[in-house]
Amino acid sequence: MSWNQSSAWEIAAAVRSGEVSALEVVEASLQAIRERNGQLNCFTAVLSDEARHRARQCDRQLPLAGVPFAVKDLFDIAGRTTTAGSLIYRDRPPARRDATAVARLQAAGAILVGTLNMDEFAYGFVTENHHYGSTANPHDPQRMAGGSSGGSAAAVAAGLLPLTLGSDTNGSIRVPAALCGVFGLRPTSGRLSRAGTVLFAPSLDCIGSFARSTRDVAIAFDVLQGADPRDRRCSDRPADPVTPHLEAGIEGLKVGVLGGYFQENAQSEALSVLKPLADALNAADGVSIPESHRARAAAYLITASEGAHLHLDELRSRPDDFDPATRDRFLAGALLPAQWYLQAQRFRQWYRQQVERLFQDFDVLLAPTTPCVAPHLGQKTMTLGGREMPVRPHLGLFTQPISFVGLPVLNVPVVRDGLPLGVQLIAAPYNENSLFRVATFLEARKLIAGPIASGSENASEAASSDSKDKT
Amino acid sequence: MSCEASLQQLADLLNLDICEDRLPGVADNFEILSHAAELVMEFPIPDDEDEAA
Repeated sequence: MSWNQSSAWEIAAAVRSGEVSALEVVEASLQAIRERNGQLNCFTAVLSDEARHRARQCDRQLPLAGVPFAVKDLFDIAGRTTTAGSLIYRDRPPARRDATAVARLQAAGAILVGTLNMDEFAYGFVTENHHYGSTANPHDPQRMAGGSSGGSAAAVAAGLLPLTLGSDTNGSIRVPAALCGVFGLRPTSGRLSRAGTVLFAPSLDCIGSFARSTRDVAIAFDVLQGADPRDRRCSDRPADPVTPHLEAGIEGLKVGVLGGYFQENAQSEALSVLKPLADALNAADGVSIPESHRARAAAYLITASEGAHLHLDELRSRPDDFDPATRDRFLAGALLPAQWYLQAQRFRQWYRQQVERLFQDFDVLLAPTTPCVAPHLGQKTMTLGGREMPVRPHLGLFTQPISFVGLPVLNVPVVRDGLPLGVQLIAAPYNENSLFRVATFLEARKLIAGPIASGSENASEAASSDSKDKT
Repeated sequence: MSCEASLQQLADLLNLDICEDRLPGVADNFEILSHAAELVMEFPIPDDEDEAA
């Protein structure tokens, strides 16, 4: 197996012991990118020379020594222009310093090799970018990777490198992680610094990571934790590493499965993946969060309003340079009455209280991540609950009500035949530790795993499984 | 006044150019937001919890 296909912690251990050099690992990753990126379109830029230069200088003793990583193209990289998947930002001056998350990974020895494709300004669940093209799903390149951090999920799933960063406003880490079959963490809102990232809807935005194992996501999370004076929304609580507790087991943890809204409007296979996990965790059935459909509606309003506000100047001065679909959504958001936004925020407070009450009885809750497997590229509608629904907004059906109140969520890829599906492990704010303990337990029992996608293993099966979907 | 005409007037106030080409797309998206707003606006937030907000 090539080094780019190894896990981050295996690479760091091998670099530390001298079994392999950071440069050899980076070269393996660059080679894999050359071989597969043409088909998948994960990367918007590959920083070969810079990566080689850093690899030659790598300190072998660091926790992520020699680990290649890449970031969604909304993280600042010193000396480069951050496009946020847009044409408009391509004219901006280069960033003067790295985003805090990029700087922290590099300080831990990881080697930045490039930037990754996304929906324009992170507004979407599909990574079908009008300017930079669509990112294909490594498990079946005829299908979408999901979004908006589609490049981040697909690059890891394809084994181009072991670790990437993305952002999640309404599901933009969890949806592509589920559709590409990898782990994706959206931490508690405010727990990781967003300094040096392009925001989309500031009261909802969060950054997080993708990897093919629980341990890799945990290590990255520990490296990224900590207060940051550059981000006033970042919590000042000290870092609380989760990695030492991965093997603590699940004794004492109470687990429940979300019912009601989270079991409706999903294709049966998206629900079927919950059962083996729930059984292994002895989880209680039918836990209910009231008014989740309204939470999703409120998240919609807040996203549209805040997103439009951030782009008001460009909507006035350069409307033709937006992806037309993004522009029209932003324009509609700009016209949204203040009373709608304010009521959505008031509802958010009420809903947060209902959700937090649940965590008096449960440590971890389970819910499907997406209502279906990855739709085909270009597919506009899909059938959910017997109704035809648009793909683009509905992939986030089950993710939006959770991130709406800032809970930490880990998408775990479920072992199954066919295209990938994921389950959300959800905890109370700042209880990521329980998520990682549960994920480690399930991974050890081979119920979840993030295998490298070869690219053709599911194509024929998938073609028959949802041939009735409209494209 | 039709919904589209209202949107046009509001856009003018905000100095946003919603030309004829863009109007149908904006109106479609606004309609989706309107449905979301209906769900949110009709929900009675209990007074005590509202105060806490």
